[in-house]
Amino acid sequence: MVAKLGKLQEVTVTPNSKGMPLSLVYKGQRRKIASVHEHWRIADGWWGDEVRRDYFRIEISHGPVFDIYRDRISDRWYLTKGGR
Amino acid sequence: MNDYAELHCHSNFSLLDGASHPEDLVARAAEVEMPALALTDHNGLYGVVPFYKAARQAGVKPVIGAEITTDKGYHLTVLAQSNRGYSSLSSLISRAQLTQSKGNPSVDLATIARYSADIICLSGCRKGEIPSLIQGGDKEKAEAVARSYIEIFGRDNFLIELQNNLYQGDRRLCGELVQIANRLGISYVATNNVHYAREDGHRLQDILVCIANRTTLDKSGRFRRHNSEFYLKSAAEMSPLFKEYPKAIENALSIADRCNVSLDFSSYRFPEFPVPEDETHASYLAKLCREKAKERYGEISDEVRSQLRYELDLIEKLGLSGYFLIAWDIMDYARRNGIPAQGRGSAANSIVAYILGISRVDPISHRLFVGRFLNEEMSALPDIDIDVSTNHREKLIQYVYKKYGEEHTAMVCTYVTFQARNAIREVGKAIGMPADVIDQMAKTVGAYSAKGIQEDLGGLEKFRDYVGSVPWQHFVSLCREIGDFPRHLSIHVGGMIVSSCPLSEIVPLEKATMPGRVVCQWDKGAIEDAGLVKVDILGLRMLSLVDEVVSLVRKNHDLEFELAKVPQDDQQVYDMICRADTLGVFQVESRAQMQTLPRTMPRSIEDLTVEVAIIRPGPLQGNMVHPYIRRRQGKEKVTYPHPILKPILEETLGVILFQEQVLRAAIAVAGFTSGEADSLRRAMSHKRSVRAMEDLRERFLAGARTNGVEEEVAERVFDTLKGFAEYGFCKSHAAGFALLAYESAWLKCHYPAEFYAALLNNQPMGFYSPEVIVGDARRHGITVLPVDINLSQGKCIVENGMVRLGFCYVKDMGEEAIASLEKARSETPFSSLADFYRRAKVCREAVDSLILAGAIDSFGERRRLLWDIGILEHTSRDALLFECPGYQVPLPNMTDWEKLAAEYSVQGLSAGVHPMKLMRDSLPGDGVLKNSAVLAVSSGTKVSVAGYVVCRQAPRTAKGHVFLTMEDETGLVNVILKPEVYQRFRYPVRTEPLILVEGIFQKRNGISNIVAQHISPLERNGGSHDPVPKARNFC
Repeated sequence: MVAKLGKLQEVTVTPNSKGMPLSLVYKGQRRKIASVHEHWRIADGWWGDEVRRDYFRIEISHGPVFDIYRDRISDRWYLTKGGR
Repeated sequence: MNDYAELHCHSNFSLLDGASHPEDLVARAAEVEMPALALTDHNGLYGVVPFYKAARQAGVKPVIGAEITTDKGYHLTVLAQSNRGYSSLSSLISRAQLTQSKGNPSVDLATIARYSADIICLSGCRKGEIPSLIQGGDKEKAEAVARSYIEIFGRDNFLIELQNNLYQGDRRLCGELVQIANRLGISYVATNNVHYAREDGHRLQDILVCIANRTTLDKSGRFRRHNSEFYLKSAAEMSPLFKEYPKAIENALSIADRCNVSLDFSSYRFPEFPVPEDETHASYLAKLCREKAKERYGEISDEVRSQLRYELDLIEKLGLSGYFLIAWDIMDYARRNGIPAQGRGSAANSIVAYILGISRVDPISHRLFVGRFLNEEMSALPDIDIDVSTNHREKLIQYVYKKYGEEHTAMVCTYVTFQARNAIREVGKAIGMPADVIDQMAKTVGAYSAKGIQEDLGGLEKFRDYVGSVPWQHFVSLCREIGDFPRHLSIHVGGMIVSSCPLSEIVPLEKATMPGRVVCQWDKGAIEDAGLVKVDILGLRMLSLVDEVVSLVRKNHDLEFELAKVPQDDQQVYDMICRADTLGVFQVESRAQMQTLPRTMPRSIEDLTVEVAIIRPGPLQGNMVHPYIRRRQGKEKVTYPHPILKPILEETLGVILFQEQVLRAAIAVAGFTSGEADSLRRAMSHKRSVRAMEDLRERFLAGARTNGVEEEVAERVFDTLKGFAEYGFCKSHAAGFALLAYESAWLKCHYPAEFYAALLNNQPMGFYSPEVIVGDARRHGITVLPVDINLSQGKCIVENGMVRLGFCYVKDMGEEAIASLEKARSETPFSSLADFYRRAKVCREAVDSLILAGAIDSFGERRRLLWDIGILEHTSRDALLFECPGYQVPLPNMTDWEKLAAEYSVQGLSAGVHPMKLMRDSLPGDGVLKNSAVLAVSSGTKVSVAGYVVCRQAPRTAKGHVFLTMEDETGLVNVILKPEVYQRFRYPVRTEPLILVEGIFQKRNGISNIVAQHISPLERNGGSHDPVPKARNFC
């Protein structure tokens, strides 16, 4: 159910009041997120190892597109190197 | 922000997929102030009636629809725009169901087109054809498919459906779909593919998916939804998901506004019954009644004449003449074709029903009350239910199908729902609980309802380790949630609907599991709410039994007699009933009845009517039974709440037992009409609101005042009625059953051999297993002979006043095997095992079973026979024309115990001795009494008994007490377990067949019981190869 992930890297993200990412710290610099191409949600494993995540495919200004997710249980953000 | 209406929503009638009752979905819609809600279950309108009712009550506009499956396996959402659209929808679903194999409904494009009038079609969820093609990269084909649907439904009635459940790819898919919509100039609409009312419903939905796919949560990744976003969302929750396409949200409400269906079948009438040209239904009914009244009554008294006139006028006024003719026609067909049948229920209150032969009960002599069945104010059609001999039921059903046509007739469905045991097994398996734990819980649970599992199992020592753990909490909460969910559809035991228009236009039809049967998608409650005509044709094995006994008596005694004409005052029969010698007798054989009969001592049909009525949960809960019994025994004075009630209640010694009495009391005291009185009874019995009860009370008191009844008295009477109305029984129903109870008792009393043979031939029925019946026969001096290949027939027969067991009781002896055996034997009797094996041509398993049952004992010892058949099997049957000497190996004979075990293993009983007789000497300890000896000790004595548990009961009214019936070689004994004793010994009580009971013998008013203090399982001789009678479990 949970997509195969590459290595996880925690990342600092600033979201808006609705939980949508506005900016993140990328290569030591705070970068504005130009666009959120996609948002999807996974909620699974409630009977044991619960997983609740919001995924975002983001594009930073003048930068690459990649996937990040917010762990809704720990409220931490991670970069997945599986993104483009 | 715009309002939003959900147009794609599944209830739990999308079996093993939707995770909310229709009513819960409506409640959620009302909570979020949703103005309209659609119900779109898979290929069905199963839940439409409760949905529609709940929605109207909650002020939410109901939209009726379905998600249908196309012949390519894609999903399509269809909504009814009008009542005409509803007919199209119902017909479309019927085609999908009836033209494909059961469980695989689908329709092709041509059929969709044929039934597209007034339907609004949405392109479907992710499993729709258009989204599937887009996801597969074929946008061109997706657009072509969309064009084909526009051709069918028109530009205004086909919309592209957008869903955003926060799945990866949803946003892009929505974009592509909107492009197609724009290119084709059609609208698009947002839906949420709802499968549960609230977000936390996703857990139960996951469990349902696991059950449907027979897998566990851990292994079901590819079947389950990825998240919990499929709940009924408010406008505020939906709008952000479609912020790029706000029109999608607006269009949902626009579509809902265009859909206006009223589930109102008031203009629908039941099929026209053909009458002669110069007659109307009313005049023909009256003519029939006049002719037949003479047959029924001979001399027509003023009372009969007046009652008949009153009822015919009332029936005509209510427009029910045709309905009575339909019922009469069915019963007349039964009578002409020798099919035993009788009307049941409140219809027996009617003199028209009696005269026409629909009912057997004379309402005049039984002092019944037609208002209980028919009155001016009735808003629903009355129920005419027919009990028919089980053996003949199919013939009567086929008559109705043929008479009214298959398009106009269908069986009513019923739903097998999740209750405690199946919830434990299926939820437990889905969660991944160990199989042995699941098994123990399922066997131990006492609660019937799944909602009671936590309280029931949580307190048991056995499961203490689990309680409090997270998996346990999930397990019990999910069991609670799944309780009462429909699990699968089945056919109702007897309900049939008939219609004037093709039935598929009113309610979808589908194939039943039984070949050739068609069932409608609504159950009894929905049918009644929708105002459709239903006739219940219920199989009653007692009618088959009685019919068979009469045939056997005619044959064996060369006697012609009509059971309906036997005297109803045979005191020998009542003597038998009063000493509770009623095993096998209709309605009065249960443990509870046997414990009551010596106290109530019924001596007439009227007394039996009361007897049939009182041993029910209702009267027991309503505290009516014990006052009646005390008054019957003369231990309490007969009093009446008011003298005005004396004529109404004197037949039941001042106690209100019957619903008819509640009506008459309301009429006598408060001057109510029959209709008002019946409304009062129904209102009281359905626990209406406090406000409604207050209104009723005021009307009652006002009426009483007008009648000159004092206020204090009127209040007392009202409270008495209120207390009993909920629990009263229908007298006419009891009277019909009492007649049959008497007849079955009369047959047992006077023709016991024929009675026991027929009782064994008509199983399963009644309270006791065949094994117990055989024991009862023996105790009545009727010898039961074992199965014999040369003497038995398929069914049990009477042979020189003894009962010969039939082949039907032997395992592996099916109808074909029996027919083959009988055909071979008809040429010449069998002369040896080899001769039998060669000519009877039954399979090896059947031969083994016959040997073990003792059916071939005349040709040798059983172990030897088993050995010989092993050799014979390897020889061709033709070669057996000559006897083969075979190997002569010395084999020990089977012991008596082994023979008994063999018989039980293939028959479930033995014609020989009871197993306890052979076990008696090896019972542990001293002083274990035989059951017959126990009955002779003084009350209060401590006793020990041992035996097989043949019946377990835990009635709801018994406040935690459990009752066992135990059997040994001398008879039956009753054991009572108080709640604390039951809890201590619950597992052995529920699972062990052979137990030792220590307790106190109690005898009161002729009733004997052992109040158990200690239960222990008994070691059996051979373990799994022991004779074990099968118990009847009612708990």
